[in-house]
Amino acid sequence: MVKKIIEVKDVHKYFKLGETFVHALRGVSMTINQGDFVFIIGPSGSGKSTLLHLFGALDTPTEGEITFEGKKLSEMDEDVLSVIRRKKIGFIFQAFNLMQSLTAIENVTIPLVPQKIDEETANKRATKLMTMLGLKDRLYHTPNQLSGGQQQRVAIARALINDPLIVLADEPTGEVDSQTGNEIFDYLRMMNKKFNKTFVIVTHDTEYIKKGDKIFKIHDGKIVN
Amino acid sequence: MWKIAFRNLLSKKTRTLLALVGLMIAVVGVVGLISISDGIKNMVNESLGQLQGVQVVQKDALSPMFSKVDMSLIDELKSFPEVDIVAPRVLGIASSIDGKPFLSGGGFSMGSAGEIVGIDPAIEGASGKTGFSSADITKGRFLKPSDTYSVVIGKSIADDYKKMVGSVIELNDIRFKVVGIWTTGSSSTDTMILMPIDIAKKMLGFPSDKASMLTVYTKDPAAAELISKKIELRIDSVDAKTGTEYAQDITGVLGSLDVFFWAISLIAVVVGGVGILNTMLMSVMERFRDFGILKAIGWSNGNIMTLVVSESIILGVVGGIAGLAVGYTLVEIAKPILGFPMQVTPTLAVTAVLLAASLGLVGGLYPARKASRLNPIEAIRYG
Repeated sequence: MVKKIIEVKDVHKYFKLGETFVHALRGVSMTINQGDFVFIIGPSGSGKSTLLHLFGALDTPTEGEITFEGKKLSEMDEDVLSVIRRKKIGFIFQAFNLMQSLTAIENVTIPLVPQKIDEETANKRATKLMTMLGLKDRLYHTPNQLSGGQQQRVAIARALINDPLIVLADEPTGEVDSQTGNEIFDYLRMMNKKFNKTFVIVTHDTEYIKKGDKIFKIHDGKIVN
Repeated sequence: MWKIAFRNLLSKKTRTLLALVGLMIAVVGVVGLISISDGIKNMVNESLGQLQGVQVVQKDALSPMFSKVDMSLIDELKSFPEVDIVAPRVLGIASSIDGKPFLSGGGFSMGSAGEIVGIDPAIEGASGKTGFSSADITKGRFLKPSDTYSVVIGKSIADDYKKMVGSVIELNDIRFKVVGIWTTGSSSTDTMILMPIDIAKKMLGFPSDKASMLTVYTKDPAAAELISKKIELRIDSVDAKTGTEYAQDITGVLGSLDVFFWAISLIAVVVGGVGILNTMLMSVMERFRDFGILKAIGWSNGNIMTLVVSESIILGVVGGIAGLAVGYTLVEIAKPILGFPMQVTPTLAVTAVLLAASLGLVGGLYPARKASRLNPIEAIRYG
């Protein structure tokens, strides 16, 4: 039986932007199952990043309900949510968002710090992941010594280090050229196939969507396909 | 966590260094000022704590130097069964030594002023009692009853005026022969010049039927404090105190000096604290995005607070240790130049470092709270 990871039911999200209210999501419903490789596509400002933040328990819906592994996110307090983010969710951002003062391997292991996992175990786990992502000889480089593609692969390793149930990626190829972008998607797909990891990828670039299993098109805060 | 905190501090070297310098100055200020107060207290305890017997002086006299008591009290004091001997002393300052006026010899050096102590060698010298438990004749001999214009000079006077046994020393233009050199065991009292009491009275213009003080030696040294109380009860015109009681009195007065020094130090400490607060606040504001990411990948508010506070505690501890090292070095350099008793005690050292560490903690709390309360989405988007 297919395991439901995230279920979204009639979710609305309003923002106050200055004096006006923005209705960013207008009754979105969808389901993400384990092992899915999902794309959410849509033009800029369509609400796709907002939706991803709701999946990642970084924000709460104004109306509607989101369940994570069958449990309502709205009923969890901030501490429980941070544990879910730490143990069940991996994040990949558009701008890589690595910490400049740390080496690549330290960036990868940083989600393990609050779990007090000893450095040796953490480094072993990170080295294995980074080797798979072609970063074996870049472990001790700082982000500014890495190319955009390499930085994004470090970010992918960071998202996977906790062995999460689901990885949420917000425009992961937004700051790299199309060849590097293809490589990054190949890596993500490899992780999806090899470890049955679930990926939800937000992009406005339709070039890559043929690689996905499910595609949700979003427009003006509504799913349109 | 500590490792990441260290890395973060090292990634902005100049800012970290400036914060450390600010904190170091505060710690150096504290170490410098309190070392003066501790040094004075130590000197007082060291010298007065070694005083033998009970010092009987005129009631409410500012110091034994300004006291006059009747020699006739000697017999009355001897009537206490616990009392062994009673030795009169006359105190004064040599207004010139070898023709050089008081205070001109070594500038600020405290060794230059000679303190005249007239004793009765028939009483003190014969009994082997010298007034100080740790006193020792290093060269020559103690005074004898037959001595007239002979002196036993303190080690500091001997060193400052290059005197040895057999030398002639001019005190207030009167020539004396140095028959011995002694040390009391404390540099602050090694300026004492012992001479026969009659000669001292004549030289200082002191009335012959008076003495500055009477030193009461008890048969059992442990009975000194009890006797001092008994004397004060029976004889209204005098104060009677042991060296330890004197030291306590003076330390009490120095307590207010301590409060003053700590008050000045507090200003330095507040400035250091504001420096850390400013540094950490700047550092946190520059890293809003980083904190947003950390929250997104599962760091709790508490984890982020711990990271920022760790950074500021590291600043505090490193600044404290560096400040202590610089302060200690400066004190050691300044001590011989100023000729002032300064002392960095272990308590002061630990207090200074703990103070700096707590400054780090306090200075880091507000920035840490600010960092931990960030909305991760906004921090990542606008950070």
